[in-house]
Amino acid sequence: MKRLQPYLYYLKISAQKKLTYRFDIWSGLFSAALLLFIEVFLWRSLYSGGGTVSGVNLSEMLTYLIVSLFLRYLFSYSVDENLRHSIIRGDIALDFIKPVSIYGIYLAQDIGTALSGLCIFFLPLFLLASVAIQFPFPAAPVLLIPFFVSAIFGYLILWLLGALVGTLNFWLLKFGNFGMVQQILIMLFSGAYVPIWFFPEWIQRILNCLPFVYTYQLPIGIYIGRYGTGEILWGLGVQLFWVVLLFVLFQIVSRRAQKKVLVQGG
Amino acid sequence: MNQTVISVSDLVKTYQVTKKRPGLRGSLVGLFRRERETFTAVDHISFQVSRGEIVGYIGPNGAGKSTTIKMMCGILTPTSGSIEVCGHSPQQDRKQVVQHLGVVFGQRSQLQWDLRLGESFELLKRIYCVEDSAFRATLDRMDRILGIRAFIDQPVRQLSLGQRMRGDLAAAMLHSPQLLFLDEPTIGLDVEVKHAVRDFIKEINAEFETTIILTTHDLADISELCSRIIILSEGKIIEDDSLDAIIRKVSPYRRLVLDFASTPPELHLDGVETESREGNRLILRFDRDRVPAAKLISDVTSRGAVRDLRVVEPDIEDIIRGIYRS
Amino acid sequence: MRLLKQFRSACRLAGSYIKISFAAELEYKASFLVWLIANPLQFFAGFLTLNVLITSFGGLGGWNAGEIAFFYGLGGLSHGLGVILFSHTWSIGYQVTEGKFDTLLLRPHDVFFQFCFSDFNLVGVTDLIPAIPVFCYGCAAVGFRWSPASVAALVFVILCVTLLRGGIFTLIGSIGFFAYRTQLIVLWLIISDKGIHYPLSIYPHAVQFLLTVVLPIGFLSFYPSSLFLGKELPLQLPGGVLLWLAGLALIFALLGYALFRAGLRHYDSAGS
Repeated sequence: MKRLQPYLYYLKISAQKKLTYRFDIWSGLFSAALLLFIEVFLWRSLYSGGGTVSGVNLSEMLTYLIVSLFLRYLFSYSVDENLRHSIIRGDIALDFIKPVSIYGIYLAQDIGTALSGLCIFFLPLFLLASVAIQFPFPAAPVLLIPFFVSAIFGYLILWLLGALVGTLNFWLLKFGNFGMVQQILIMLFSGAYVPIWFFPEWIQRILNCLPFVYTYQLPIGIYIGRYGTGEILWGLGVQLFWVVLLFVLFQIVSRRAQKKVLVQGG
Repeated sequence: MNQTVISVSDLVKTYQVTKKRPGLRGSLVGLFRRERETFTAVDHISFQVSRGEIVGYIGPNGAGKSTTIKMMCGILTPTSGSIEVCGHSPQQDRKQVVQHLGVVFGQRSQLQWDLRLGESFELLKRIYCVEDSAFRATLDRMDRILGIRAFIDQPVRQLSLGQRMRGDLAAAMLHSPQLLFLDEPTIGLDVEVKHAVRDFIKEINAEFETTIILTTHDLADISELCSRIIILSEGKIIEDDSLDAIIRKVSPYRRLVLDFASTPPELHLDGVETESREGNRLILRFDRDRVPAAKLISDVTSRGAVRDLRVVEPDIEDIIRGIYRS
Repeated sequence: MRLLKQFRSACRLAGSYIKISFAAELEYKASFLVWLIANPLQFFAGFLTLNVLITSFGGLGGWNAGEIAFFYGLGGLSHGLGVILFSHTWSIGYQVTEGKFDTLLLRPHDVFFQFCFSDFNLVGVTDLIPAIPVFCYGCAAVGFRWSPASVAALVFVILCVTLLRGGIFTLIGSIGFFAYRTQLIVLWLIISDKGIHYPLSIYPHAVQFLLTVVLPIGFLSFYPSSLFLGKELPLQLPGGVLLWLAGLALIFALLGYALFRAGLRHYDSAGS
């Protein structure tokens, strides 16, 4: 417990930081609500003919949007940005010799940000959506268990991807901010906005081989009852595979990076 | 010729600052309510500066030095009071005033970070509409004083702090301003570059009669350069005089340190106090106006066998610290 | 005569500012690469997603794939131009804390003039590049008739929308003078970006009214595209689309300028 204390402190600080700029909070809430409604209007307009498209009806799609919003706040991490800035400023050498793990601190900070984001942003939005749109019931209460498991795996996949891209800045810094490309790829190919089951078959097949769909689409799909038990278990297995693979890659890359810093001075 | 370049009267600048509450609870409350309070940075100050003066504008951090300078440049608007720089108000006739101004902020470069130094000079030449011949002449002169040609083709971000400061000083002089504001120009510089900066200030003051206002924490800058010092504390002027006069006023004493061959004799002289007596060493403190040092020395040496002696001036740093504290 | 001389020296100064910002950008050739990947990627992927939805659902608010391409490409063109010319308004709050306006105020020129010309964002070109093929594809798909009149109208529309975007950028960016750290500009970028994603006809009437009169998002691409494609407008605009567009562009440009002035008056530079 004692060893965890510095990390918990970082977690608290970063949760608190979110509250500092109230203008940001109000405008952030406003914009998130606006974007949610734009999406709702889009799907209502698309489904104006009624019925089921690609196996999903309007009500399931609206639930999909609200749960996706939940995941977006849960998945807010900035390990890549933090690493990048630390490398730019040259603080990273100091960070590596601190008596605590720098990645542990970033993880604690990200969890702190996610928790406060869920409280400050998602909670009001959830209440608003429940009243103005619909209450996002899961297809069956028991599905909440695999949903949360899969959401946590999804978080780990994203966080490790972020840490990996952030660490790659040791070599790629001069080429600009690759985190940006990563963010775009995630938002497009994870089904965060538009589920990829609307995409042509061949694109779906490619995306199923990438980690992105296992971050947003899998947990939300479980929630709205799109997958059977077999598919859920298979999906969780694939997630675990990605977590392990990314973790190993991350270990290799971060070892190399530390060596680079300690030998060449960054 | 005693031409007034700057005239400041009854100047006040206040800021509104929001108070932040501590802790998570405080942050939450702050989402809905915020307290504001008024902070007075500059508090009813008045002074005049004549052409050709080098004025040291000093004071502890947060005393309001930079705020005053920014108001004189037209960057900030005074809450009340008036400023006239080169016959214009910097607020109403900003463009006329800044045409006569050169400004260097020691902590913030005005050069184009990404581009070579010369590129910044070219841009400034166009901004201030400097003629080609005048531009070349100034550059030559700046190269002579500051040696800028040695690094004029390097990008500013690759320059050392000292080179960058020299570049900034040259940049401020390109349009031959009558008046130069230097805000901590020697901050963080090594001894040699500090020297170059001081030489630069002396030279342009002597050559062009440029009026210079200098803020600094380095008292060597002051004692070497400034004919006059204005000391600011908590927004108020507490001293405005020559360095000598301030020293005389605050600390009119000098010390005479004497080493005798044997135990020092007892002395009872008018205007002289014994500060300490330790073994064969005697330290006397005397009033510089009442007791001439030469007379005191001859008095003392006639009373005992003096092996060594020196006159010690009061330490400026101690004096200034004393003024800040009071 | 004096005015002419002033105008010429202003042009020369603007010219050297432009030259400087190009030179500065070229110092970072490598990081340009990421933008060259990221921005077209985002643009094409957004377009692809719209096409996927249109294929699945058979249309989007009464618009078919070709019309959407025209609409999406036209919006992208003015977005790219707006980013090139006006993106430095996004970071006014940051520039205030960095003391950038100290420097501008120390120069014997108008601050707004210097601010407008002191920074061109070449990265905006990477926004412009992908918009061109999508727009051309849209033109071909809807059978756009190229004539001197239609080209003139197109140029007029793109200029007006660019000015409108610039005015809104300046208006929102100038809030940075008052609240140093705001995400409002990000908010606007997201909303206007979504606004060009989807045609106005997908929204309920009240929202359409809002996005026409209060937040003129409809004018960024939807109304001009409707005009060129001969689509029926969801709201009647007395006087016509072009008049409204020009009027709004002018209004927002003036509002932006006014708030910038007010912000400058309020400007308290950082530090003491």
